[in-house]
Order: sequence, then C-alpha cells, then structure tokens
Amino acid sequence: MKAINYQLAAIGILAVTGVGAQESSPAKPSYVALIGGDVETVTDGLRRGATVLIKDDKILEIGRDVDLPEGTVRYDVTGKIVAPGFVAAETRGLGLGRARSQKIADALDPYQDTIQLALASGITSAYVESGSGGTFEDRTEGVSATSAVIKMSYGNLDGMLVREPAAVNLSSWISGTAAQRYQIRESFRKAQEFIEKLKDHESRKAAGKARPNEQPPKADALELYVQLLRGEIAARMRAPTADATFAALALINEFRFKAVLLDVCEAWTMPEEISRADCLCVMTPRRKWPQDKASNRPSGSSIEQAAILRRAGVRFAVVPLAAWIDTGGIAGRDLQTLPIEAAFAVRGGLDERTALASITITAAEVLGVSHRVGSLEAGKDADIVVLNGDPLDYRTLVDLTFVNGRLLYDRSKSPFYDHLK
Amino acid sequence: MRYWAIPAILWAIQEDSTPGEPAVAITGARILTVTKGEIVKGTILLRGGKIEAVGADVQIPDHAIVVRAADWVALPGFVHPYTRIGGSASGSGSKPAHVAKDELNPARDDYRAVVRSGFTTLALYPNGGPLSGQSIAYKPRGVTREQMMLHSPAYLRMNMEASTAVKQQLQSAFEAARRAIEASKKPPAPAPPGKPAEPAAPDPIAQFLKGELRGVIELTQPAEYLHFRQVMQEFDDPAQKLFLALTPEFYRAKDVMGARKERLLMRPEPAAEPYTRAPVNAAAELAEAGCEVGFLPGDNPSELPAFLFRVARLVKLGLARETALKAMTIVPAQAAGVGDRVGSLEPGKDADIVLLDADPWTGTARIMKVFIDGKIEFELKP
Repeated sequence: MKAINYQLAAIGILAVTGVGAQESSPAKPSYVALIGGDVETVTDGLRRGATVLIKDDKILEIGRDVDLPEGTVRYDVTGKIVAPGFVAAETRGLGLGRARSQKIADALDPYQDTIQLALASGITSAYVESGSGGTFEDRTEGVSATSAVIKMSYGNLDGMLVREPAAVNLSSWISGTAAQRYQIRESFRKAQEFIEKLKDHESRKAAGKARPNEQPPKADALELYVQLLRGEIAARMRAPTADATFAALALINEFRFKAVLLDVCEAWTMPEEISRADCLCVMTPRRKWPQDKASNRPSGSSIEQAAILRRAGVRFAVVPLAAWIDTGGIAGRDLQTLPIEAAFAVRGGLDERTALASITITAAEVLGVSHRVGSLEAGKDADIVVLNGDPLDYRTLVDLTFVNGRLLYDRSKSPFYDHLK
Repeated sequence: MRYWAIPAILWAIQEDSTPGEPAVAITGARILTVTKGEIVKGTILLRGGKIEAVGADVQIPDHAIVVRAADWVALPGFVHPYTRIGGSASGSGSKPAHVAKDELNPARDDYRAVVRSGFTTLALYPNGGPLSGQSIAYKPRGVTREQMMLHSPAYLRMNMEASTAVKQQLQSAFEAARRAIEASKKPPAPAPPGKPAEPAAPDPIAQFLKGELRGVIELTQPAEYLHFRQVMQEFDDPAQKLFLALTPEFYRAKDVMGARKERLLMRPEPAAEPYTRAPVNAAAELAEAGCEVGFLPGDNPSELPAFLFRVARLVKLGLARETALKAMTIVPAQAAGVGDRVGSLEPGKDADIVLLDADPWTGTARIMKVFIDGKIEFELKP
C-alpha cells in the first residue's frame, strides 16, 4: 500500500515538474522553425523545401506556407534533410544511473555522456531496461523487472521518461525450463479468467445485480499479464532461430497478445506465419547465424531477411550489432551508426523508405510510443534531426538534434566532429 | 555547591597562571585575509588564541614574541568540510540523531599529516545510509575529545542516490518531520498532573526543514541533484544546504545549479569533455555560473599534502584566485557551521594561520608554519 502511495506521489511530482519545465515562460509559448529543408515525414512522404514549426515541445505545423509567429527562433536548413529523431528499439546501459532501482523513473541520468553521443548520432528515444550492462535475459527476465522508453533529453529530467513499463520480457518461454513455460502459460490462463470475472462483475453491477458491498476482483501479481492480453503492453521474446520463432508464435496464437520477436535471424524462412500472428520483429541485418546443415528446411541468416519480411507485410525495427554506445572496439557497429545498420537492409533488397521507417516509426511502434514519436506530424513530439545528406548514407552527419523542442546537439558547437570542420 | 561555578573557577585559575600571556606578532608577511582583501606587507597580532589585530601598521606590544615572516604569505588555516579522518573505522551506523562526536578519536595518528598540509579545522561526518547523522567540527590538536571539539552539530549529512529506495526513504523521512513540525505548532496537550512535560529532543530532520540545521547532501552524479530536487519539490526548500559533488562531472549541471546559486563542495580536479581532448575547469565553470564553490580535499591523509598544489593547478587553468582562496577557507568553514570562528584573518577570530614561503598559486609554495589557536602546531625544519 505504501509503495502505491509513493508511486502516486511520484506521479504528482512529475506532473509538477512538467509544469516547472516551462516556468521560464509561463504564459508565452516558444516557437522554433526549421525553414527550407527537405522534410522526410516518414508517414506522409517527403516534402521538399518545407518548414517545420515547433511550439514548445510539439510539432505545430509542417508545410510550404507556414505563418511564423512573432519571436520564432529560425533555423535555415535549406539543402538539408529534416527527419524524425531515430528510435533505438533496444539498448543497454543508456541513460541510467549507477544505482539499482526498483523504478527506472528514479534512476534516470540525463547528464550521461553517452546521451551526448546518442544525440550526435541522431537518436532521440530509446528502450532501456532496469540494471545496466549484462545480457538482456539475466537482468530483466520475467514480469518483476522493469523497462522503459526514455528520451535523450540531455540535462532535462522532466520529459525524459516516455513510458514505464514499456514491455514484458517473456524470453524464458523460449529459453527457459519446462517449469517456467508452465508458469507463463498458467499466468496467461489466470489472467484470462480474471478478465472474464471482471467483465462478469461489471455487467452484473451495470444491471444492478451485484451484491451491496461487492468489490471488483483484483489482478494482483497478474497485472502485467492482464495488460498483455488487453494489448496495452507488448511482450518481448528473443527468437533468433526458426524453432524459437515457432515456439513464440504458438504462445502468441494461443493467447492473442501483442508481441515483439527480438534478434530474429531465421524469420525469413517463415514470413507468412509471422505475418498471420501480427507480431513485430527486431533484427540486425548484418547479424550472421549459421545454417543448420542437418535440417531439411531453409536455415541460417540472410541479408535478404528484411526485404522478405516486408513483402509478407511484417513490420520490423532495426537495431545495430551492439545495442549500446561503444567507445572502444570496432567503430560502425554500435548505436552511433544506427542508420547504417538500416542501410544494410537496403543492401539486402529492402526499399529505402521502409529502411528509414525501421529506425523511426516502426521502432516507435515496437516500443508502443508511435503516437508520440517516430514521424514528423503535427501534434507529435518535436524530436527532430537535421542531416547534411541522405539518412542512410554512410557519409551523412547529424547537424542538429532537437528533443522535446529543445536544441540539444549542434555539430558546429560540439567537439565530437572537430576534424571535419 | 553550584556546579556551573567550577568551570568559571578553573578558567580564572588558568588565566591567572599565565599572567599577561605574551602576544605573538607575525610580521612582514603578505596577508591574504580572504574576507577583507590583501595586505601587501603587514602584521598579524595574536593573543589568547585569537587574532587581535591584522593590518599594515599594527602596533607590536612590548614583550610580544615576534615571528618574522618577511617574503612569506599568511593565510587562514584550510578547512576540511567533509572527512572521515578522526572517525571510527567501523563506521557510524545510520541514524539522523547520531552525532559524530561520539566517534571522534583523539588517538589516531593522522592528525600530524593533516596539520602539516595546512588544515586547522575539519568536519567529521557520520557515514552510512541516506540519513547517516550529524557531523561535528574539530581542530586537529589536543589529547581529549573535548580539547579537539569546535562545534556540534555542524550539519545533517544526507547521501543521495538516484534510486527508488533512497528517494522513498528521504521522502518519507521529510514527510514525518513535516508532520512533527505541524503537530508541534498546535497547543500541547495538558501534562498529566505530577509529571512535568519533558521537552522532546530536537529532530534533526525537522531542524533541517526549518532551516535551523545545515544539510550536506552527498552526490556522485549530477543527475542525483535533479532527483533530489524532485524529492524536495513537495517541501519548502531549506536555504541551509550544500551539495557535495564527488566527481567533477557537475559542470554539466552548471546552468540549473548556477541559476539557483547552489553551494557546492567539490574536489579540486579538472574534468575532461569525454572522448575529446577538451579540458574542463569544473570548479571555475560552476563558480562563473553562479554557484558558491568550496573544495573537498579528500580523505586519504597521504593525498592531503598535495591539496594546495591541486588548487593551484586549477588557478593555472583559469579559476579566479579569489574563488580558489575562499573555496579552501571561508566556504568550507561556513559549511561546517564555524564561519564566525575560522576561515578568514579578522580580529576576534581564532588564530589559525598558515604561513607559506611563496605565493599559494605558484604550485611550489611550501607550508612553513601552521598556527592553531595561536600556537605553532607545525614548523618546517630547515
């Protein structure tokens, strides 16, 4: 009970700080305009020479003839590409502080140096998990762990959290023991029962047939499973092989919940099945998976996977080989080159439009935040990148990055690319 | 027998036993008073453990002991605002009511290194947990706890961490204290007959919220400052507080912290903009943004002798000398609640003085003599 009170208190604080964020101009909204760029909206095509007008933290209008209110801060971006900020559908150790925390909201670190590097790479939103480092499974397995979608709002705690929890990790359905699989299926079954009971209770109450002091049934520990069945949250399952994917699809088809298959490598062998189950995929086009020479079916990874899934109507997000900001090792395979990973899907036959969507709007869908980020549309969050070339070209650099309407990265003022000035 | 008379008599005897205790005059030194500017060549007159006069033309009384300090620089003894030196090695537990006086250990052998490095006042903090207790200010001399003690309590020590558990713990402690404050405003219930109401011991957290007790909040990452602000959002922000920054990363939060003129204790070390070769003078940037910066010398006695050198390096990197000097003396003295006793060279203050053989910002200045309460506690032998 105490914990719930605290959560309510925390929501209250967030609400208060949300107001505080604009305390510098309580009555006066602030306007920012990006003028003359080629605007890649992602959901509504390319608008050449258009203006994007931002009001406070939202996009107000996109078009050729936009009236700019007095006092608008103007950026001439003629000849540049204006695109939605990139969305990282999976990351590790990004934006979280040093401490173990029950809730990600209480551990956010908007001053982390890797956030600066993410901004310099055009990333504005990311999926994070409780605990930093380590593998996906040993940190966040099961429903007790927490995950969130956060923004790279450097220096601003307000507006950094988009949603928490963002997903439920059910990878143990695939890699766990038989007992764990039994547990998961039982939880789904009980959650189904609970929903039926609740419906029954509500209908009797509406009909005036409920007992005088009858309380609605409580979900308790099943809360996240109930949310899964209602489609309010997605399950994430790591399914690199065809076998794993079949196992995942069996559960999805049995209980009809929203699911995301992570790290798929052999999904190209079964695009129709995945399409029918209506689940989303997350993949790394460059990832290699060896062929199973003993099997009598197609196996192993294929660079064509993205193109094949696209033809079957399966939506997917692309993540890099290393889902973090890597300041050592080999360059070009971590989050700092997310668009290049999408370009590898183009190399496998995917069209460029879908490739761009795989790191913007579809990645936002995977995270359940596509109503706020992932495309340039009036009313959406002003998370915008200005690029000096084609988003998927390896020579392209990010010139400006806006998060929640604030300019947080400006290449001309950052020391990161001094050698190119 | 009236017990209060005993100390008075003892004091009188002590005064009588040293009739006309000779004054000490430090002459010919360049004097950095910290609060009253610089005297190019002057005299500091000490008597009875206090500074009697500071100036260019101070009359030196007959029989005064003269310490010739021509070409030397006199400045107040350094103040260490946050240390475990002098405390119990096993830690102090985690209770806001705990006062670190109980663990001050006069028998430790660190004090020589402390004095040799120019420190004349230290604040011992109790460690452990988000609300670990109250610190005390002491001087590194004497053989009993009472002789060492200067001030108690100095501040309430808090350790902030960006996690649900710690934020929750601080929040509920503040809420409980606020409820206690509200309750204390109501007229007290009539005491049962025959039993006089006992005044309750003051609650340090309530004192902190009311601004009666200073708070020092330990932070490791600048994000923790924002999380602390989130916790405090529901409470009246007590003005009497300082933040303790354990890393130089805090220059990242200079806009938010500077706008609120926060007081900040930090280590005298430069930072580096990550993945670039751009150095960052964190202390200078925070001071220029509007923060009041004090320095945190560190807890290892072996690193204390390098303290002055470290600060001099920051001055070479662009930190204002005035800011650097204050950050070693009056700012930490105020943090420890003894700004009226130590931290500057002014008449009436304790005669805690460091004599250097060169300008403090050369990086090569040596500490020649250290006075605590007018007595020489360290002297560099030629």
